[in-house]
Amino acid sequence: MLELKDLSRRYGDTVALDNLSLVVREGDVVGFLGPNGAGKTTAMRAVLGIVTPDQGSLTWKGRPLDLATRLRFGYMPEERGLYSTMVIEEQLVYLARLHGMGKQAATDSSRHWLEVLGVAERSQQRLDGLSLGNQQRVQMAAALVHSPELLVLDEPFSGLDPMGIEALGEILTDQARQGVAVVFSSHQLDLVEGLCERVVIVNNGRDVVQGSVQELTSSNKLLSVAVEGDATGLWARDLTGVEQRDLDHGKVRLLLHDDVTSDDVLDVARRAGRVQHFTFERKRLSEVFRDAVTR
Amino acid sequence: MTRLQAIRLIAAREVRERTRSRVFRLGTFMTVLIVVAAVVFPAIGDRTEGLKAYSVGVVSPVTPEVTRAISQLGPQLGAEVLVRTVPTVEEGEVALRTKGLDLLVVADRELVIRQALDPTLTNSTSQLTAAVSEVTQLYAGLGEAGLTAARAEEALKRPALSLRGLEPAAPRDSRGAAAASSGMILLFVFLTLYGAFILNGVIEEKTSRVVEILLSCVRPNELLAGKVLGIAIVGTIQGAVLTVATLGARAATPNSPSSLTTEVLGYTLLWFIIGFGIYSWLYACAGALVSRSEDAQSLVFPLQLPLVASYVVGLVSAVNGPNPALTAMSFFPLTAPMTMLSRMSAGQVPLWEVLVSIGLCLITTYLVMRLAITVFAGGILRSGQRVKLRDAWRHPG
Repeated sequence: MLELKDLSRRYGDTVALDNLSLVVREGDVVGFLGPNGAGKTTAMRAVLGIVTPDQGSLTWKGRPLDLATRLRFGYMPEERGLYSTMVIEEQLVYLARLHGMGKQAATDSSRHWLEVLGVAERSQQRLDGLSLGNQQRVQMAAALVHSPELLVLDEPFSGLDPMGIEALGEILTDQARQGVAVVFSSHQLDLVEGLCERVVIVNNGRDVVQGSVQELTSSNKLLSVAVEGDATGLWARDLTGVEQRDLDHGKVRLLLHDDVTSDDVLDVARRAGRVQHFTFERKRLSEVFRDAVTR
Repeated sequence: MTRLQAIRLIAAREVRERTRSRVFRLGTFMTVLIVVAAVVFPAIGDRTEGLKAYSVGVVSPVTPEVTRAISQLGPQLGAEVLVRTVPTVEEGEVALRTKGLDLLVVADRELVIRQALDPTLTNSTSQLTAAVSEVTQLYAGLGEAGLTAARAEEALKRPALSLRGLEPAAPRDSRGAAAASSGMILLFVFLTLYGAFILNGVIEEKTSRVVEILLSCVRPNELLAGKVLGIAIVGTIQGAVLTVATLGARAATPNSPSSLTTEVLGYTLLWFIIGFGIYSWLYACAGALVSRSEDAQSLVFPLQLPLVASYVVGLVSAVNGPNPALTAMSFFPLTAPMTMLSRMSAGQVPLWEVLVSIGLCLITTYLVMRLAITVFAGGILRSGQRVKLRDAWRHPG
């Protein structure tokens, strides 16, 4: 289990991390969410030892992180980086060996991942001869090539086409099934919702929300109501203590404040006409995110 | 994985990628060509010089003694002088025009050449005419004084005066000066070239962001040490190739008067390794502080100043003889590689001075290495504007 506890880091007057804590368990796929500049990249760099926090602790399986432990981590930085003029397979072998693999094992693993990611036929080319999407695949192979126990991926889906996104999603799920702990950042919240068991939302360097996607999106406060003959949801305009979220084919989505109950809403709806649809709905992850960062 | 294994892997990648590049192969090939040419061409030139012969025609009346005296001017002129009798002045002039003759002696009255001489210049023809004129006039004068040509020839057969110098000969000679210059030129090129390799290598890793992945599995000092070691090995390989090429060229032309001797190349290789030890770390510092090659120029300029100053002082000393500035600079670590090489190549430096200079360079290398590793760790992950040295020093990572 990866545990970050009360991490803080400043750059001059800028606070990058402010007592950030999070946990990633083996077999978990964790979405690491936050607006730009929230501290996600700094936190990931701290896990990989690229940034030293001013305070706080980082542990893997209960032990403080050191270089030997980090050799078992796979990393994909936000600003993609490999040697543009180096032959792809040699590059992967080099990185695998720097992570402690033997030459033959590194070669075999490089070929395997290039095959899985669909760029095997380009393995003897220079990286700069590939399209950006394929370079992204090679970058992913670089994170996976040494069979890491923890994958830390900064925006791994950006730049990929829908096929690439699907393929990468399957790889991450498969890795988690094999016991690898996976944490990745993304602004594609629908994707995160479909892929992750847990999310951590950070804002201004702090973890503001974390938990399972199931917990965070379930709600007894979000109602979906349809009244016959009122496709525009006019009946709900005069409701107090209620926030009207959106309208979908005559169904009004309403977020109830603490002082309002579903019965109050049902009464008003009945007075407006025959109630055709009345049910509690799950929040979308994007709503959870928006609520978290605008608090 | 141990630190040494990491450094070895990084160095091996540098060696493989650099030696594989077209720039390196072409550069090595061209340098070998230049070095071989520098050894072989003077040898060919020297042989041509040895075979040089002047053809002198004489129009009677000229005595056999004068003819013999003219033909014996060869050693004095560093050439062979062939004398033949020409029946008439007109025939002699035709031979001059068709380059059958270099000089025509008309009795003891006149010397005729193809093209009039510029009196302000000295060249081989002017030396020939001066020597022939002197001999002819001498015999004419002695004849007027009453000596027969035979008696005059007898009287002139005296050994040359012995020559005694009040002080021993200066150690500098033209060969030593040339040796100092050629070694310095090579070292200047090598230090600048391989410094640029380090600089561009660091900037490449920084701008491509591959450094983030590297620093997640190796320490900054291992990354930098591997890079410096790898590029130093590449430089040494190129130096070794040049040395072998020089040895081959010298074996093929054992009498070559070229200043580019194996000894000079050996000194150059030694001071390349020592000089690279200092400059590589400084270039790495510069690379870590910038994000673009264009921004690096302003940082590289101060690093090149000591090399340029060394080159200028070394060159002046090679031409005008040793001077105190050269001696002083040969103990200052940033200028020592080139200036001490210059002194060693000219053969004018005691061993203890060389050892002291090397010792000071090694101490400086250690200090510069410590500085570079700290600055590298502080600057390598910062992109955008140029990082101030002070900031990189204060915030290493």
